[in-house]
Amino acid sequence: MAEVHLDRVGKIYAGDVRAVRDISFAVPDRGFCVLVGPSGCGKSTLLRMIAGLETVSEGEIKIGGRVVNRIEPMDRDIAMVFQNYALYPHMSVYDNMAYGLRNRKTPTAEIEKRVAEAARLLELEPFLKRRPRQLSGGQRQRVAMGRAIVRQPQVFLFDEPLSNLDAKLRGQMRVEIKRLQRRLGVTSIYVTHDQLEAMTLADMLVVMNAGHVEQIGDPLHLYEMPATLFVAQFIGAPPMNIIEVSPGAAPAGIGGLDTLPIPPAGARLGVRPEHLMVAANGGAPADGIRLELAVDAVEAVGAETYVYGRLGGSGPAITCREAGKVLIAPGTTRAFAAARKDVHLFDATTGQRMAVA
Amino acid sequence: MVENRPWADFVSHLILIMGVLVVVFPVYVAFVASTTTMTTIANGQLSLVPDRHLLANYVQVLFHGTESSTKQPMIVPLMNSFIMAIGIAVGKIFISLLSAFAIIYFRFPFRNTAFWVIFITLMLPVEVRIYPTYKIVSDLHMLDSYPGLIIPLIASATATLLFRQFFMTVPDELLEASKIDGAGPLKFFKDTLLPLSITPIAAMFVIQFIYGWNQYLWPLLITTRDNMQTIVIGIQKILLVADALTEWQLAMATTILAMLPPVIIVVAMQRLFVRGLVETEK
Amino acid sequence: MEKRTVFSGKLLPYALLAPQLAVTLVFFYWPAGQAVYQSFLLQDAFGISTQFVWFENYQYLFADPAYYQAILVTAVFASIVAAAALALSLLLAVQADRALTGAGIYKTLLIWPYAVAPVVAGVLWLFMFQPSLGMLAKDIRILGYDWNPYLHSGDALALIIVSATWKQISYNFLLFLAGLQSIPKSLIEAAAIDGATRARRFWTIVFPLLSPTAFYLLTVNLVYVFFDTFGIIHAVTRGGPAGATTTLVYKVFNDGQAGGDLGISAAESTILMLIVIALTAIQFRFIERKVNY
Repeated sequence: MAEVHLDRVGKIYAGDVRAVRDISFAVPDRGFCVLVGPSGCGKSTLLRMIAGLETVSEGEIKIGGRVVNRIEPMDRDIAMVFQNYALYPHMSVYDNMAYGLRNRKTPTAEIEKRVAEAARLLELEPFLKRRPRQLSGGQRQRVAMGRAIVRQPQVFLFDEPLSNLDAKLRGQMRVEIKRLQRRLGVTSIYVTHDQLEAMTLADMLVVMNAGHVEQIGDPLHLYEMPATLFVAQFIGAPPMNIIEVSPGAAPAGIGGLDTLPIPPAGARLGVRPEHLMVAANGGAPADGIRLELAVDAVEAVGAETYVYGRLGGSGPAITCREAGKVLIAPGTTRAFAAARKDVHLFDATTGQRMAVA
Repeated sequence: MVENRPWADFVSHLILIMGVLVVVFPVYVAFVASTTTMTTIANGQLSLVPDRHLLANYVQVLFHGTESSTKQPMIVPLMNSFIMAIGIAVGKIFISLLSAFAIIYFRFPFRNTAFWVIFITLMLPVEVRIYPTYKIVSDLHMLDSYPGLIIPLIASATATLLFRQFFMTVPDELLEASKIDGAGPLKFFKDTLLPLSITPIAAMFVIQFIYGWNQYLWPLLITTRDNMQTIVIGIQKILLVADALTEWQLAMATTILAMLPPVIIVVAMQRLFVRGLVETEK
Repeated sequence: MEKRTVFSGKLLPYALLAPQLAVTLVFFYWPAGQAVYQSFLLQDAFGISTQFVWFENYQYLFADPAYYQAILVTAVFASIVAAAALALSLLLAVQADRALTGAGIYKTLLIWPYAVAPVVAGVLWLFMFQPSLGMLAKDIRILGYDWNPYLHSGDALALIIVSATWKQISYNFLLFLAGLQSIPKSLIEAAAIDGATRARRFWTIVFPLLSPTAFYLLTVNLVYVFFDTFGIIHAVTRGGPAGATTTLVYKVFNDGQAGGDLGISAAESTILMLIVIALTAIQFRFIERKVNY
């Protein structure tokens, strides 16, 4: 059983610099957990604490039911894939993968078996005798994974492993990593700043910001029901449109607000670009909101069309995403409508989600 | 990293402190000796605490010389060392900048040959060609002179190599922009390259100053007059006398004086010169 | 080695190179050539008549027990100083690399001896070990050993070995430290996760990656011992007692001083030249092969 359990984990650096605050969650056995957030949010620090590369200032970390706070990295039965691969430059690919096993005095026959197996899985067989410098970025990435796989650890840790690859390779490797993880069934924790990677890889998504957790859950659930303003704007591309609203003082060009439970102090209204449909001019929406946009630009990419405009002519910028081709000319004013169920409201001060019942 | 060896840091500090002690101790002893009298030392009563004759000893050594041996006030050799060290540093930097510039930024026949000709000198220090070089300097009537002390020692390639390496890291775009702006090679050198090169130049200055200041064999050979000697030779001259008469306290004072300028420069420009040393390795 | 854009000057590059080439030709190649040439000559004491004698000078040298002694002394001196200076400085550098509090201060305190002249180092240690009034010499005497570097060759050799090692530790330390700091931290972390203990990490990861630096330092240290230590020997032991501390370079100096055979001295210089060239060539070969990450 390789469940990873974090209980009120925190990290403070010298000089009272707080990197991580009060993190609690549990990654189930065989689960793929992704930690996502902007640079500096503490996700890498958290991963390194799980690995034992940073000490834990507060709370407890358990791997497989065992508290590991004081246990050295090599005894935690984990393997890690680094962002810059961290391959040993003076060793061949084979030796890179065998190194960990040799350190644990694994019999040579067993080493050969495991390395061969991993090499086959990752299509590294032709490269076993080469040095890292002779490999491309993607190949090095796979060697780094191979090194983790042969160890057969309880947990895999990934620290932004795809950041140094070009876009196309990133897409391919993403699929491979997911496939591999499913097949090997090893509990995995994966750190990235890329929300697309996060959405596609995670069984369990943890969104972090400024050292604390914003929301945890299934990726699609986070997409459809973001718990905070931060999550709403972080997950999804193009990002959710956010408009400041307050009762009675609605920005120009927006209609249908009176049906929404907006508190006196005001709120943030959010609606995703794909939920804004071109509406017939004139006529209030049956149930939902209506936005009048002065269209600035239109991008037709074939399968979709993006419309960029300003609310009410001079208000906040709004993005709309329509399926297929839409004939709108820049410089005109058009109306877009969103159904009530697709409208989100967030508290103006705390950013917490509010009911739109 | 989580490491379960609480005493590891303690051991490290211990080793480092011992290292520092070994490094500092001889100098400290010399300093203490330079503050006391000959009799104290001769009687084996040298303690670990400085005595009260610091000013007296240094004034004597600087301005009056020793009783026995050379009687040369050490202020003169000190000056000679300065002139020699600065001369070598400046000379080397100057000709090396020009050479490195020529080799990197021009294409011309025999360019590679010129590079190798200069590069080979790296391998052979002056000690290897000591007597023939002496003869040449003598033939040129440069014995017992500053040019004689300085010029033969600027023939090595360390600085050229460092500058060449540095110039390689200067982006091509700067040169291209300069050319478009109508600048010729000398203008580019003066207005763009030189200002960029302040760091390696300063690092080289420190390294060459120390090299020049610490030269021993060469000044030993080509200077005979007491007042042309450098301070490191001066120390040796004080020791020249038979044991019993060596004025150790003055010898130590001279030693401290000989160490002071280079050490001050190294400590003051530490970051700079460390970088210079590490770059030359590559 | 190549810049994409260059200036096209016809005379200017030569003019720029002229100063360095001139100095190099006059004060390096010409004397070096002279030394090699003179090694084939036999001159009388007044330099009046010279004779071309092929390799006679070399034959004389290689039959001379004093020359063999110099070779032996140089070899022993070089190996001990190089080994000690490298080992000690590596030990210090590893400790300093550990990001302790006050690492910067340690670094400054350990680097400044770089500025000290070898001869000064020799004098400092001579003072402490001077047979009649040296502080530490007394301590040795108390232990019952009759310490006298002026009389006992072993003592003399020990004294210059210690002085030379002391002086060289700083430079080695500096470069080892730089080498250690250039190893990416993630490699060490990966090795730690891979189950390597501190010691194993050092020997299987750090040390191999440090080997280019180590090789470079080995060459530099050897050249240092061969040449720069002249000052130490001249000021402290004068090559004695009885040639016990006469290294090859000191012998060149001495033999030339006696006003005697310039040919022999030149032959000695030439042999030294060849040794150094061989050393540097080996270093380049090795570095070329091993380094290239």
